[in-house]
Amino acid sequence: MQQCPVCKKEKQQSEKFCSQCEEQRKNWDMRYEGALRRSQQQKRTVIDNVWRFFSSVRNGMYILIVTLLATALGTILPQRAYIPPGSIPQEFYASQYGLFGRAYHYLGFDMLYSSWWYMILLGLLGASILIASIDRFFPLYRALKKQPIKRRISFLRQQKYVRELEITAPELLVKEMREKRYHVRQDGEDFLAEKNRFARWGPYVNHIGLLLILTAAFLRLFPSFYQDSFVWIRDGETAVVPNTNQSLFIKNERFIVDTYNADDPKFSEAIKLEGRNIPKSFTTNISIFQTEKHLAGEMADLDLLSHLQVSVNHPVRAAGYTIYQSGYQLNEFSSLTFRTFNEDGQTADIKIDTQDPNTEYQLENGLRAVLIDYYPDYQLDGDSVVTVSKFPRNPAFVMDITDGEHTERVFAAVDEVVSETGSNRYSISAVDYETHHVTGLSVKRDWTLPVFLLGGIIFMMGLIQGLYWQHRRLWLHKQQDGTYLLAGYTNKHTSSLEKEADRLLDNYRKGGRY
Amino acid sequence: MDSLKKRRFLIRLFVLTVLACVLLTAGWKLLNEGKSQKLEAGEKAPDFVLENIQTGEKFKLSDLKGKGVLVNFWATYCEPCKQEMPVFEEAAPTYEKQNVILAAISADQSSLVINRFRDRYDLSFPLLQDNGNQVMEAYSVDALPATFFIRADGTISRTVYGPLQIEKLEKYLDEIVP
Repeated sequence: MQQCPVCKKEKQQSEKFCSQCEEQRKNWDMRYEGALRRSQQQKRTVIDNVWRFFSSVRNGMYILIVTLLATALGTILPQRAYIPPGSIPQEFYASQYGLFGRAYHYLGFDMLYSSWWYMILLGLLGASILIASIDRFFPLYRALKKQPIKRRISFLRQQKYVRELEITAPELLVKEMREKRYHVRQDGEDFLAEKNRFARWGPYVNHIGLLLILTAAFLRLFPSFYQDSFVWIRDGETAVVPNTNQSLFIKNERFIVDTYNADDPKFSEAIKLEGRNIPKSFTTNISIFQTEKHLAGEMADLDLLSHLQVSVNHPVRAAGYTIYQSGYQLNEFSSLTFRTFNEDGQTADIKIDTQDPNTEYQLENGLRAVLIDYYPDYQLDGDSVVTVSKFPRNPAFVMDITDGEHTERVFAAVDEVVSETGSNRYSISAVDYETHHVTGLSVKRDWTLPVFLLGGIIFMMGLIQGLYWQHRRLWLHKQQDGTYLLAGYTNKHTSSLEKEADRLLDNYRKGGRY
Repeated sequence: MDSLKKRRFLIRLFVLTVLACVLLTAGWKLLNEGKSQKLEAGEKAPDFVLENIQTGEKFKLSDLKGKGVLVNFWATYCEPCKQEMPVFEEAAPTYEKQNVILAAISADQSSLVINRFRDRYDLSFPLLQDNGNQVMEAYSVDALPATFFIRADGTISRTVYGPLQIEKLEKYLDEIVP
């Protein structure tokens, strides 16, 4: 029979502690200084039950895992915001990804990150983080703040590091402790040496960071914090930026595409393979206009703010917004030129501006062209011609060409000229065209980024605080027989504490020799 | 001890209420996404000035205080819009006598296109051109057609996004007769 090291009662040889102490040890939770967490109280209201649910780390982990799975689910197929512009979501997902894509769209996973249930998951996660932290931080803070220096012998013997010492000069040991940056307090003949208590706040600091990140995600829902607009602007055109309350206007002064040099041996092979010029970068020279009280439709009241150049990966800032170059179109015609022959074979060209065509053109060879109709983006709809948009992507004109005697009506487009009488008396054909560019700018305002950044920094601080420092405590207790009991506790890396404490004792013994 | 419990209860209630409010706000914001920017009945109609294609005169909404105004957004390439135009043409003279002005704002880029359309449909009521789409943006119109019925005091009486039900036009117009 041996003595149990805690209660000094008899215990079985094979066991370390007597059965009673073993049981106590199992239930001993040093994380919160052995104190009950508040939510674990007896009598409960509904509020207490909800609180208890969110204060549970296990429930928090479940919520976190579900949130992570949902977040991963949203990355399997592109979200709706990133499918090619102009495509119909239902058709796009079905045609690109088959049955799976159809189901993905049907279940709303293509808009997952703004779905109500994802928001609820984030909300639950936030509640869990906040409540679990409150439920643990305050009791722990108080327990550590008010901790007694004198501890019961049973408390000390429960610790991971326990040494019986026969020392004569505890103040020398205390000096060694102080040199190791321990903060030592004394009560009677008992000492408590403590260091790096702040490491215990690491998880809570970390949680504040997480909550800030969730707050930033919440703030993105408000236009005053987050706004994302997209504008197409033609060369020379001034466009109002949507959703700015008509306060911001951008003029596209000139759009420039820079392509890779096909003569450069480095690129020629690849360009040949691709079969077209490959854009290297695109840039728009823009003018920004700002107005306080704009009258819609009025151009004169715009105040020039600045001239800027925006290109891919080089956004510019103006009026609290960041402007990104994010797209372009090169397929719009700005003018078409048709060649006509008169009876004598003399030629003359008609250049028709697609933006603002004239109603009549007097030609040098004596012919006269009267514009009857104009289709900026024509398509054949059965027998009739219709325009499908206002943009001159495929312009067609109906003209009456006359030399005074004979009048012929022609339908003229860039790829074909059809005479309604069938004769094409004036041999009209398209000979030239000019195109203009359309720049696509994304105009964003995002005040949530600093909040995300701050949240991230605080998150990292908490992580470092909790990971790289350990809260260590050493209790030096004078027992009744005059010997000392040294007990140590750390929240992590027990072996390091043991090493440190042993070295302290070692130093003391060496020092004691003098 | 009892007062401590009470305080604890109140703190928990407070934290949970704040969390619930945040979640409800987020949900409400998500449900109303896009919808919130649309103009609604009762709001003040944004003022605008555009050129009347026919006369070249400026057409300014605020100059028409004291008159009811129908503002229609359309384009020559929009099929349902085309069907509405003759109906407006028919209603315009009758309602002008009752101090209600009908105006149709076209999104087309080229005035020639609008003029040819006007000739073909023989329209005489004010057709306006909104080249930079500024007025469309001000009225948050992203699909054509859209029609706004504006009272004499400048507030919106009714908004119709999408095609009008022709038989209801008179009823809606009667609502804005001053």
